[in-house]
Amino acid sequence: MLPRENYYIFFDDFEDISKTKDLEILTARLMDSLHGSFFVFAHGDEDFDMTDLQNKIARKHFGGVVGRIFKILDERKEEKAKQEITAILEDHIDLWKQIGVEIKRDSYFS
Amino acid sequence: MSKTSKPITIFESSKFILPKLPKLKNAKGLNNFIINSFNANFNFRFRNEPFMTKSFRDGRKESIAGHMWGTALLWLTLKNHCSNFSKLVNSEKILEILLHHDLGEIIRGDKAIYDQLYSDNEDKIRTERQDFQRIIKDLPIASQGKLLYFF
Repeated sequence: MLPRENYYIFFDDFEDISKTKDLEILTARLMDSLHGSFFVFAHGDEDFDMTDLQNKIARKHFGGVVGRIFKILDERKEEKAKQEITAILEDHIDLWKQIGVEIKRDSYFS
Repeated sequence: MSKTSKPITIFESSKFILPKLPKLKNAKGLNNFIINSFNANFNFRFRNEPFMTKSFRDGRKESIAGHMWGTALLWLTLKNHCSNFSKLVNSEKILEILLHHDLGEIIRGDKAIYDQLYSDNEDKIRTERQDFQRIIKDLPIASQGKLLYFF
């Protein structure tokens, strides 16, 4: 469990309720979110029938955290760092695609 | 080993003298914390996920400890590929957060993502924080304060 303010809101789409500017907490939250997928990548997807739910989970996991990280990097004019995080997320979307789950790009980058 | 060779003594007390050091402060509390935290090996995630039922039944479980280790491994792996971003953060602090972050799930278990999505999630936040406080209660006050700031 990481603090609530690091989550995006669950029901009201992508309204930003994240308050922290602590990049370490946000980075940890991002790792926590990304790691959940690796259980699926490691074990296959035969019992995954969750396209709709997956999008909701992706939104919950990534929306606020990534949005907040990008906001901080924008403020600090750290464009290269932002590109690196973007590349990691793009790779992650590709991994899901390889097992047949299409994640809307907006789910990550809103 | 040939018959003529001298047996190796790994631990000769005459040669291995422990230096006298001051006793560890609050050793009992630190040990209690580690003992309690070890239960992260034996408690599992995803128990109530409707889309994870088959995996769980087949024994493909992820322990809480395994999950925390996985997140730490992920950061250690990724940080080498994002040198610009890595310069902006304190990696040790990130690892400290990751290696503690789900200890609060040890006592009452993880709450399914499905349930989180369809509830206000307040219960999970509150109960995990309470359980996390129980697990770290034997640590020095300063350590407790630092960990509670993270969570």
